[in-house]
Amino acid sequence: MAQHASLLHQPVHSAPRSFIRRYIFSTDHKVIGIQYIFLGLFSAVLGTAMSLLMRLHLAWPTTQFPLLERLFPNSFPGSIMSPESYLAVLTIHGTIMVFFLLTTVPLSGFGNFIMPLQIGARDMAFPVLNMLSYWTTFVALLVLIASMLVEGGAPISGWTAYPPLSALGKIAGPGLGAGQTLWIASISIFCLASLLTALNFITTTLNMRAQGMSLMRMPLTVWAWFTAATVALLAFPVLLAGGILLMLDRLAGTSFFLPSGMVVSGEVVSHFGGSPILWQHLFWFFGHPEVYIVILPGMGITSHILSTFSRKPIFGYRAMVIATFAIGLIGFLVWGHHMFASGMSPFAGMVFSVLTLTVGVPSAIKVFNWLATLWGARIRFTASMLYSLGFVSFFVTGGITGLLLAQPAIDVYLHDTYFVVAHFHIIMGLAAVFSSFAALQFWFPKMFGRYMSEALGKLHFWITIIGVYAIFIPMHFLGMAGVPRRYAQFTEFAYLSRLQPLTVYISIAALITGAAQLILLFNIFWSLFRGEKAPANPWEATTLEWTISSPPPHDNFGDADPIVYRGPYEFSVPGAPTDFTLQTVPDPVAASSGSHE
Amino acid sequence: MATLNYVPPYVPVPPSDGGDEGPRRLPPGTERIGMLLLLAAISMMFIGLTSAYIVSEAFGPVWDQLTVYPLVWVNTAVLLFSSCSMELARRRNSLPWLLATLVSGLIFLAGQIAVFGLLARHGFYLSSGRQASFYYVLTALHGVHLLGGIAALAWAVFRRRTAKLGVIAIYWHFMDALWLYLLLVIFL
Amino acid sequence: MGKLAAIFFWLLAVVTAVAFIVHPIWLPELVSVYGVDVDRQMNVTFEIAGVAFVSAHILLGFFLWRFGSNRPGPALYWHESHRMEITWTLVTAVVFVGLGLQGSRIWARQYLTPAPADALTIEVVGQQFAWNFRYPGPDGKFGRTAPNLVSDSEGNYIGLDDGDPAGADDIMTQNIVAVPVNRPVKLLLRSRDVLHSFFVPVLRFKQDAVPGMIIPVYFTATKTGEYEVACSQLCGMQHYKMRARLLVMSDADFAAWLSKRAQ
Repeated sequence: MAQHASLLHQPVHSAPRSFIRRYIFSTDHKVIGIQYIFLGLFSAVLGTAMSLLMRLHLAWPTTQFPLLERLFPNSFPGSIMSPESYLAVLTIHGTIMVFFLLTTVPLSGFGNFIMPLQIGARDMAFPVLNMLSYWTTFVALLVLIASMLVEGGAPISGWTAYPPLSALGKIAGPGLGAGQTLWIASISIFCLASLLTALNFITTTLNMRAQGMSLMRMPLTVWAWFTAATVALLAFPVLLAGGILLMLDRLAGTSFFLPSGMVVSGEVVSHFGGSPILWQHLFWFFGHPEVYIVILPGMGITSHILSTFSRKPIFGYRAMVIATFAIGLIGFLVWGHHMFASGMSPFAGMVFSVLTLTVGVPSAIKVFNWLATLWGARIRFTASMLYSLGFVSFFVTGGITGLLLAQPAIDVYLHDTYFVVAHFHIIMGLAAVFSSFAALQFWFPKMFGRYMSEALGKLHFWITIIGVYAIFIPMHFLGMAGVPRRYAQFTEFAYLSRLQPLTVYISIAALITGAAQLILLFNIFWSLFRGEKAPANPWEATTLEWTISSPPPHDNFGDADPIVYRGPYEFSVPGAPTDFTLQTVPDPVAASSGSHE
Repeated sequence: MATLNYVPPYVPVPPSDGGDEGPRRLPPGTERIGMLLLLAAISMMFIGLTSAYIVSEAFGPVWDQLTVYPLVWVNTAVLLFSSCSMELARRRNSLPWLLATLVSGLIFLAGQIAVFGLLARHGFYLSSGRQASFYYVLTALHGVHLLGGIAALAWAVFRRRTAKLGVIAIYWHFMDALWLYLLLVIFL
Repeated sequence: MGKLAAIFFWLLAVVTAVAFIVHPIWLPELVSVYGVDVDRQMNVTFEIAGVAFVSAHILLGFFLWRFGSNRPGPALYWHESHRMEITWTLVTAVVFVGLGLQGSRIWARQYLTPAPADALTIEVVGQQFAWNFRYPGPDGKFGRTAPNLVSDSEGNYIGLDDGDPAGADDIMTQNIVAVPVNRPVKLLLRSRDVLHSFFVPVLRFKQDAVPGMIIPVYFTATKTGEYEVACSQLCGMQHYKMRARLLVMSDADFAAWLSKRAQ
């Protein structure tokens, strides 16, 4: 197989010379990490634009927008967004954000760049595979975009693509023909890319650590990426299995998910023996671990940055490692909480409910440990610190509403309402994204040799945190009032149109906050070229990436491999000359007494 | 918790000299770990599919019982033989046995396609019902993965590589075991 | 900056707490027996969640206010306490799992017990994009249906077999369903095509309608009135318009309504 070729015959670490080998088809983990981050950034812009189109229509469903008709004539007949276009935009928004932003940036983006540096490795275990991972992801994104451009447009079945709607083809609605097929293809390709990434992360963490880098001296970011990669390795194949079966139902006349007796658009559909609920089981068996793949790196990044800017070791390092594992493991056992109203056995519902509440326990432990880290600290309020504090807040807020959704008696009311939309946007959209903002501001100097603007970062932080809380906390009330999800507009129900003022308010808040993201975009691109030059260790941090230049040389550590003598969060060690001690600083007292980690 | 403090044996990497250098040396066991992880992922996909198969029994009547053609057992025997030849090739660093493994794999695949033909001739198509659908899907996916293994074998034969076949061997044996598991699930 | 952040998180905690306590927009009126338990459990859970949310943010703000880098002296090199870890793990586990068990009891009481024997049975068949209802009529039996008998143009939305005598007295409506007040009603949920979901907010009731399955669920409405039924499982283009009306009436009114429909 391919990796054997790379190991035996490819001179991996000669610095490549051509532009293509350096920046396009690079096998250097640092370049690949940056490629992923830019892919994620592009996806974020596209996904955000889609969400703003949705909010525009929800708030003003009967208002004409001639400019939009000019740009997207098929979707805005009569200058008003058609319901199928709303659903198509909704589907692409969800898909592109979950997969191409949230699953790539925190794990494949920052993980690729930083993880090998933090364990003292020269590169990932399988660099060629790494390059293939990125380009496969890129192809998956192209296929997804293609689904918007074919006849019928993008699918209207949501990012969850429940059959029968997603399996019946065009007779069930527009966009369900070629668009849906391409969507399934895109997701399947993405599964393969994730598999390669996961392989690389796990192998590298296990086998490529520098001398002295025991497992319990690894930064919590490395633990987080390792656990997230393990979860990805085991969860994505199940999505692929489901995708294959769904594709066959669509194209080959099979009936994995399609029962008999359906009459669609006046025609009797000849299928038999399948169950739509089977898809839900397969999808959510992947889908729930997926959200942990998204959030675990964010938790690791938060722990890391909180410790750094508190000038204190992270509180409860061992408990944090155990909690990370616990979340990864128990996360595989709770998928049924997405299915309480699906027709699944009510007894199974009870089991899933108790397990879901159990997975809240390690999450709570992490919050306690973050708070304890701040106790007695000497906090430096940099932009990345602020974003990380925002993560803690969002994680509490979003996680706490999980207490309601985990109980089926309550969830059957709130399921498929805006309460759920608020819950997952706070946890996925806000917490995970803020951890990426924090990571960006934190590691940008290392990646590019220049600081991002602290002032713009702080401005962006404040506008965004106020803005997104202004959007999503009121949204809970829409859910409590019973406003269903995935409605193109609220004009057809008395109890919904009564709430239109709140919908309008949310849309206005969204438009303002969305516009404010331009500050971040400006900060990124301006800093790339004009940012103040950064030294090797601008934040006075302790982990290995800060022992090398900013940006690092091609082979990371130059002539001498690093040797690690201490744990990753040795801040304010009593008796030390500075309030931070790099992991590579030997300490004769500590080394001989069995090393205090 | 001793294992958490374990540091793997350290293999120093030669320093970069900016020019062409020889192959990069990885710490021992790296490829093996990668292969085991790959097999874990492949297992999860087949576990997903086979549990879908088992659970779907409850959805409706089983219309058609597939007959187990003798050819299926012949193919299975060929695959088992290929595992033996793979082991012999690995232990004895033998090119002929490696070639035998490759050829057996191809024969197995040809036999599987022939079984598809038999099924079709008897009226069992991909869409003919639960057991038939799953048979086609599981067998075809297994075949695709086996083809990957065959490609690796072909590359090894082409390169006359008879040493360090351990990683390919793990994959090959896994494909064999997977086939036995699938037979068990579909026909029992 | 630390003090600013502290003020922000304190304000967030207070404003959110007040908003949820005052709740200008909240659950609709409650009109079912089962919903009483649901609403109570929701309130209990909100109280616990609220305490956690507010105290986490108060603490967070307090630490940010107090422990800025300009505070004299080094940071406290303290990073482990087994006693604290065990304490907060246990407390959280007890509270969370306790909530879960209590919630499960309410769930089991409704969903793991069959409908009362005297429940009025109504069949609900969702389709793109309407709700069809069928009453069994005086004989108490539903007539046979078949997909190939469906004809939208003739108004036979569920494919009722005219040849089946049991179906002769079946009463069918579309997008409107009436039930008697204070009597248990059993719904047999079905779907003709894709997934739909029958959501009646005032009853705190929601159940997916799955093609190929007949899912029985029941409720008892406690107040007369007209209420809206919304589809809550994405079913296609007109998902947002798939609306039915639920009429809860006295026994006498219900009988009259039904006999008028029978003609």
